[in-house]
Amino acid sequence: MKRMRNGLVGGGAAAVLTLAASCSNTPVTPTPTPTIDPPVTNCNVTPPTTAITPALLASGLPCDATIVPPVTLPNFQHGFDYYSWLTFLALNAPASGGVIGKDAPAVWERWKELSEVMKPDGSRPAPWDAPRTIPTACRGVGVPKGTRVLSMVGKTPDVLSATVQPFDTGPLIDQHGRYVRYEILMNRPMFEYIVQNDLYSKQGQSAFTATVDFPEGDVVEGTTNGTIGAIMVKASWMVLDKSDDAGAFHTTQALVYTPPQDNPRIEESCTGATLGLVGLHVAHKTAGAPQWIWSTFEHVANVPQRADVDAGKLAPHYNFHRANCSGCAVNEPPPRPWNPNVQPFPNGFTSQIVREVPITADTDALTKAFTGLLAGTVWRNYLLVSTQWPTEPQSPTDPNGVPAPAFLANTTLETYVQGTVPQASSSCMNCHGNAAATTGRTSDFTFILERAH
Amino acid sequence: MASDPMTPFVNLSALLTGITAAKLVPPLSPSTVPQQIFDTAKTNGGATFDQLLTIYADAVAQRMTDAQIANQVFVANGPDVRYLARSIMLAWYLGSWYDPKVLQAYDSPKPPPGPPSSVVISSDAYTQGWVWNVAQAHAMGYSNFTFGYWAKNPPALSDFTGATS
Repeated sequence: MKRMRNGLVGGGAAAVLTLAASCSNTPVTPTPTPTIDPPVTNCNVTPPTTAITPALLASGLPCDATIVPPVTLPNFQHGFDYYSWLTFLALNAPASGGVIGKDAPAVWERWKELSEVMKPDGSRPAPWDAPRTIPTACRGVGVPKGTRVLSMVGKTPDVLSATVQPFDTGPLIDQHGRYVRYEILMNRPMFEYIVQNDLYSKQGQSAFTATVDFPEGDVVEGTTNGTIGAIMVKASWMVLDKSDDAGAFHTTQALVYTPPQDNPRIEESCTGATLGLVGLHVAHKTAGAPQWIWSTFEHVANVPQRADVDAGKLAPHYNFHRANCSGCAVNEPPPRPWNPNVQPFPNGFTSQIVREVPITADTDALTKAFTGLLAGTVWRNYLLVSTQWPTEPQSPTDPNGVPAPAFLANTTLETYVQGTVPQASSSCMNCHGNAAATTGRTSDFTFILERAH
Repeated sequence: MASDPMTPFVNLSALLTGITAAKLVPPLSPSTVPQQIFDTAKTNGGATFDQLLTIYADAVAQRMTDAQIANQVFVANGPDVRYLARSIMLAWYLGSWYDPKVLQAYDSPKPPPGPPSSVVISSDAYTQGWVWNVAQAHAMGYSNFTFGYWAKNPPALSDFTGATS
């Protein structure tokens, strides 16, 4: 059921008045405030018992996970993994319309990028439909208008405070010695919630006295009516060159921007490049999962699993692993200094990464079934690692909802914190449950608010 | 013995610990700690473990009260059963295995000096030990609570244990 939060009403009834210029007789023009999470009528409520056929390609975005009995851990995990694939199909459909298939800018790639929301001067973000802003250093780079900007070189950039971000992850270096690039984007309900509550600045966050509570995706029982809720995406991209098989990746033309940094000194730089998608996190807050549902996908050629390495069953090529590399330190960050302007990485370093926690047989089978629908497209080359979901979303004693699986890592996004060690290995909910705004108050499972200035 | 000994083991454990079975093993729990405790008790308990579960199953079949079952476990069937039950209680609460024979040695007018030896079953068993929950606290260096929890009162004891009294 649609819920309204923090006194912000929806349905288009609300309006704010745009003040006319002083000393002017210009009439006051009402500017409608967008509804934060408007009702939709096309929630994808396909149950996970549905046969995986091409009909699913056009089934749309789930507003929440549809789960059916029996109430067992394996069955629920299957249901959430099925939800993840439905979400993957919907979000990777072309932004211009149609169903998933061609290698075109996807739905999520038209969402708002983090740096456009949390601006260095703390100013109000441009409206949802405004064109992307380009860093000054990128303005002379000859790329098509509207080309995106990728600036992050690590999932946890320096601006994240050590008090709430327990993992100091390093950069990931591909087989060409280049840094993997990252971006964080959010859908419109999440963006509007931040903007309309002035959470894009420290000042606004200080004035916000309510508990941060992003809108939930929800479905009116027995219907396809509901709301989408907040969704955030984290993507990792590998710079491609002529020796890479670009046809095996979802690609994008992007401005690869390195912001200036002190200690160590890093010069601002920008260049145009073709990049291939190698990792994709999707986090979705829903009524059934107020701790959010965390789905994570990877390119199939990223890394081998530990068992494959131990058994010597290695493929000829991986994006982040070199076969027969004796003496290569496994799953260790590159030596410092980390300067993206110095590429390839000095001394021939490339990351030697192995997946520590194996993908389960059921999740693997689902990936095979869904990618079977995507034969002949670049999307056949992506796999679901797993989906983390709350087994007790209303638990009074565990605000993280007792997540299952207990640990989940994407080898391109949590490269160096894989494993099963409590409070040290990657767990989406247990990590993001510690997220706080600049005020020190909890920020509803996202570190985004901590980036405000 | 029942075909699924885990279920009577958990029900017996609920009686021994005062924690409801639904809290010890929630229906969708991803935790492997209950299975670890079961395996540890079975391995170390041997034939006495089977005897303990049989005693419990017979008591349930006879519709005994909790107090009557406790009498069967702690009084009527001898020290081997009694101390294995105590070891199981300690395993749930502390995440460590105390050998029943070691515990028995401390129940004498002249107990051995120092604390009884024990083995931590696993890091998860330690952090998920029920002693922390009953204290409405958490293990040192491990907490599920969110940022700033230390400024708030903990949840009620009944929220942790599922017990209403």
